[in-house]
Amino acid sequence: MTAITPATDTRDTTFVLNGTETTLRVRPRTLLSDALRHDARVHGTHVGCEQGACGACTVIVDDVARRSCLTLTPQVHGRIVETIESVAGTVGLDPIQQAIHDAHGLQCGFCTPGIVMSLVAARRAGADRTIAVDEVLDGHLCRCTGYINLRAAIELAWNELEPNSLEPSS
Amino acid sequence: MKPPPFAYCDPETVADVCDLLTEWVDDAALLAGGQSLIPLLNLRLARPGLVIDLGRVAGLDTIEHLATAPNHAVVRCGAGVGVTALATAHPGAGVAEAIHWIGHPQIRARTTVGGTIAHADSAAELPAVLMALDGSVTLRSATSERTVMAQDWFDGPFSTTREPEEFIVSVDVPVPDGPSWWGEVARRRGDFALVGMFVARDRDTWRVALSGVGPTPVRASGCEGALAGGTLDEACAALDLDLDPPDDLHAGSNHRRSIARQLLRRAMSELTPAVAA
Repeated sequence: MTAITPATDTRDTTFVLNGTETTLRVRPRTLLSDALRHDARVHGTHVGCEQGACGACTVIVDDVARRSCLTLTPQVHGRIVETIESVAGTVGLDPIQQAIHDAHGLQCGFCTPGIVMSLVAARRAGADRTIAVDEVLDGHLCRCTGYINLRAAIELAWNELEPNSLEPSS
Repeated sequence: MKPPPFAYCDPETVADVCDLLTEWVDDAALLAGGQSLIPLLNLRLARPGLVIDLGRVAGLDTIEHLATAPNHAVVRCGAGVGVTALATAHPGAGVAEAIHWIGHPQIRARTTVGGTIAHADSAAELPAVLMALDGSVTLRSATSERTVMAQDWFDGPFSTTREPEEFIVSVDVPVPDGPSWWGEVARRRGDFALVGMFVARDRDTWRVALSGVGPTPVRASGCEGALAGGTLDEACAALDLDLDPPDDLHAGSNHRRSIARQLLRRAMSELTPAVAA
């Protein structure tokens, strides 16, 4: 018979967090977004609406961007989780982060970590610029910078990825 | 907000899920992709005693192509199959397009076929597709297995004819032998549909079903009959009689009727240019 973790008990969830095997001991109802911030103490993942609409909490699990606020911590047992802390290398910003910097794609920066994680996953999946601009960005709310600069940033980043398509075909 | 307290387990076999449901019955909630259940938990609209995570159950992630009769095929999805995998596996262009309208990519990547059919939001896409194609749902409990046709499955707003000790193991999505189409009007891309419409040509008949126009997905039988022998105007009039859309703060009833008629004209102009001319 399957072991049941009572609501008041904790259970161990072991997963790879930004390249390091990590075990968190939390109650089953703990959202991944909260476990990352309060238990793993990585604070780059932001929490906005907690109902999947805003996208601020987006992380990458097994190469796919998803909402950490719509993920129970035990669901990532045995999986590979990446947060914004993993994106920049030792030599500097990731090209997506650099493009957002260059195109002034953030003001307050609250939504930015989630957007970067979605774009990193899209790039890894081979998404073209149209999908990145029209669909991936659709899944994120930004209430101060606006989307014009974010769209420009995606164009910049994808220009580097697709050097043969510098000029959008008209 | 945060979920209320609940007990949790992640069984690995269908038999274990059945045993848990026998014991916990309707105090248990089944967690598939979590894109509907976890918001309901976070908003405290659901307070289950036990959450049964189906993510590790073996055998719920398979896709089979079955020939059920000459020229008639179905795609049988395990309940845990992601909708994006169904979009790739199903030959119907309208099915793939409907799935493309589910939420945002970050949500769609976690949405499961079994989850969206079990949640039975009347504004969701796949329930309408299943209604139009006469798909079916196969359920398992500790003591029985049964298959329910789509028309007998959707019972009301967010409610189905599932018994509390049953759970979905697979969903059959038939393959029409002609072209298929999905169209939708929503306030923003990724929002639930004001009206969504699936149209397919299948063995010399038309199949039409809509989302967002009633407590369940609605099969537009009168419209299907009118398309078979009448003009497009007659089909629009028949569609009007098939529907009794709700008034709510997103759109009035007449507005939804108007969208439905426009979607039908759009569908037919793309599927049969001759009919629209």
